[in-house]
Amino acid sequence: MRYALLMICALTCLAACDDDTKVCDVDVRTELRANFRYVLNNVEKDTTMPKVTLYAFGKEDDSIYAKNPTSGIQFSLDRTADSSRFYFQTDSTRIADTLIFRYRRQPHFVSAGCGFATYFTLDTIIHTTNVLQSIQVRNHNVTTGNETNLTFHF
Amino acid sequence: MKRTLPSIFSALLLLQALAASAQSPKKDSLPEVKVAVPAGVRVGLDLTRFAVKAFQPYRTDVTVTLDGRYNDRLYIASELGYNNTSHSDTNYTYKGNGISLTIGANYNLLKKQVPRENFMIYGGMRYGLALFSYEVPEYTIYNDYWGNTKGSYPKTNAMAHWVELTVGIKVEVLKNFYLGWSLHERILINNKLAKRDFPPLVIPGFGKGYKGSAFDMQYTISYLFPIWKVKQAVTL
Repeated sequence: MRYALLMICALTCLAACDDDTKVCDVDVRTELRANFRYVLNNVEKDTTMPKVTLYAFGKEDDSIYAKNPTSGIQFSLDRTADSSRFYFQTDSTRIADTLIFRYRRQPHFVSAGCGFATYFTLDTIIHTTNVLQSIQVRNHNVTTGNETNLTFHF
Repeated sequence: MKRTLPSIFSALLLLQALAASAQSPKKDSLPEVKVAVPAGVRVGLDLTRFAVKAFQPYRTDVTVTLDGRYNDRLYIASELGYNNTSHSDTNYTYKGNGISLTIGANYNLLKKQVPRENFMIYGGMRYGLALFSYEVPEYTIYNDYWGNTKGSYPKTNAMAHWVELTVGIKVEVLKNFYLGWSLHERILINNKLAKRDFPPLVIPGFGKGYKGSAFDMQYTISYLFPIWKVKQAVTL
């Protein structure tokens, strides 16, 4: 019993002494995530778009998605500006939509080992309605890359 | 004669044992007496702070412990601390420093049998306060698509205060020289400090600044300056 207590004390002390600046066990990417929904015969369900293209205006040569089949998109916002503008096309044969996101940015200390990340709070979303019908905001706070923030309705 | 001597010896031993058992109720009935024993200020240095430097090279800590015997079992206890933190890696650079003070009491759980017996097993409680500043001269946020962004966090003055529970032992190894170890659990009162967008890496005297509680261990070497005397109850 005494040895078990000593072991617990020693392990607790080691845990208290460990160097947290050497370990990063958190994903520090903060990305906007959206899923696709489609209404057919008054029933809405998840859908997959066959050839999604997505890039930020001004970065035409650097696509986030380039004619990829996908049921949702995940992308990062510009960390140096309070708005980002994207070209969004669901199929190469269809007209593209423009997405504009306005947001607030806040640098956030994630942990001693991971350093900083930028947290975003979505204020306004403006978009064309060529193919995309509406955008539903499910979560205004963009603090991870694992949470769905938006639903695109087609 | 050979048989008689052991018999007499055994009988004497038996008598002595009976006499001792007969005396014990009398001993309990004797009143406690108060004996004046030397007391004073015990000044110590926490040696574990130098070991912490080996595990967490970005930290430099010095902790001086003080305690003074108030009465038979109660000791007024205090700690003075200094911390300097300097860390740099590819993610960020951090600089911070400050001082801390804790004040409270230790209660000796051992009932002394001999007036000059100088060891103690104690439990204690403290209130802690730290005044410090910290800054991030530069940090980098990496992003494959938009490119990396750099920023800084300006120098910020902060105050932290906490409550602390402790248990430990102290033993006199040479005249007036003591060795002791103790375990400490600290709970931050102004917990919002740890929840900030940018909390401090280290709070002097407390520990990791981005957590609401901290566990710690101390190993102290200390010297008692016998300045005054306290009256200690001893059962004769």
